[in-house]
Amino acid sequence: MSKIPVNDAALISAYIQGDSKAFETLLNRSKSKVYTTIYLIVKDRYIAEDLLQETYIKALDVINQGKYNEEGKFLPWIVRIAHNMAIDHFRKEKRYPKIVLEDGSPLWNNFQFAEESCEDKQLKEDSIVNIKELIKKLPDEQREVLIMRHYEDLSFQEIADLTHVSINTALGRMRYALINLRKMLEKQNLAYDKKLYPE
Amino acid sequence: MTKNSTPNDLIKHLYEPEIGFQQTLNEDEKQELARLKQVQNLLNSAYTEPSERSLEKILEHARTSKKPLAH
Repeated sequence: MSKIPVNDAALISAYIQGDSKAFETLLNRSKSKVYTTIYLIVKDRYIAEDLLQETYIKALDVINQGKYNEEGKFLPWIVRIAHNMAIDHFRKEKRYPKIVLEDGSPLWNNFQFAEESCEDKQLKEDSIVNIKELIKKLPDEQREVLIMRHYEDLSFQEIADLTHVSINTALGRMRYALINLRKMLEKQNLAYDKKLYPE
Repeated sequence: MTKNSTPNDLIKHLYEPEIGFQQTLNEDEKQELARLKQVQNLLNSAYTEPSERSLEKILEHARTSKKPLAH
């Protein structure tokens, strides 16, 4: 006999009543969307891991204080917290200057480069299309709309309201984001074909 | 009968589909929509899982921060 899926509001109620397993189910349902949203904004796996923890801890504190009132809408709520955490991260970075190495390069960028070279270099060498890398290359305005619409599930109207642009501008940015991704993919595939079948 | 859709209409339909919209598209627009759909599908492959270590820390907080309910 298959189990009937329990909705998010019921899981939150169960957690409030003392069932920690209920929260584990909520975490498993939402973790991928929350983590991907943060990662695509901050572009760094280690920072994304930290912000993921901060996001859920903040959400838990709100729930435990009895202040949660988004009944049945846990996922969009926690994705919004994650989004704001990621944006706040940039604000803090601006406030506190980066540590610069003797050669003038920022310490954090070097760290990021080293991390990327481990995880992503192999993928690039194998010519596997890494869509995450391509998303990172999009202009900020296009990347923002793409993340908000595709990964955060916000409507174009909500995106327009949040970013203070018209809905047509939001749609246009999304269109260019998808077209630019398609162009980058075609370019990558062409390079892959040339590697496989040299002239 | 087909009517001309704007490029933004295609994007809107891709994410917020409206019943009957596809019947209004001409062949070029249908092809463009199919190409956009391919990119949209590929975006789903970008979903990334966090580390087990992070998840354990969150679950630990969920267990320890929960105050017992007063009866």
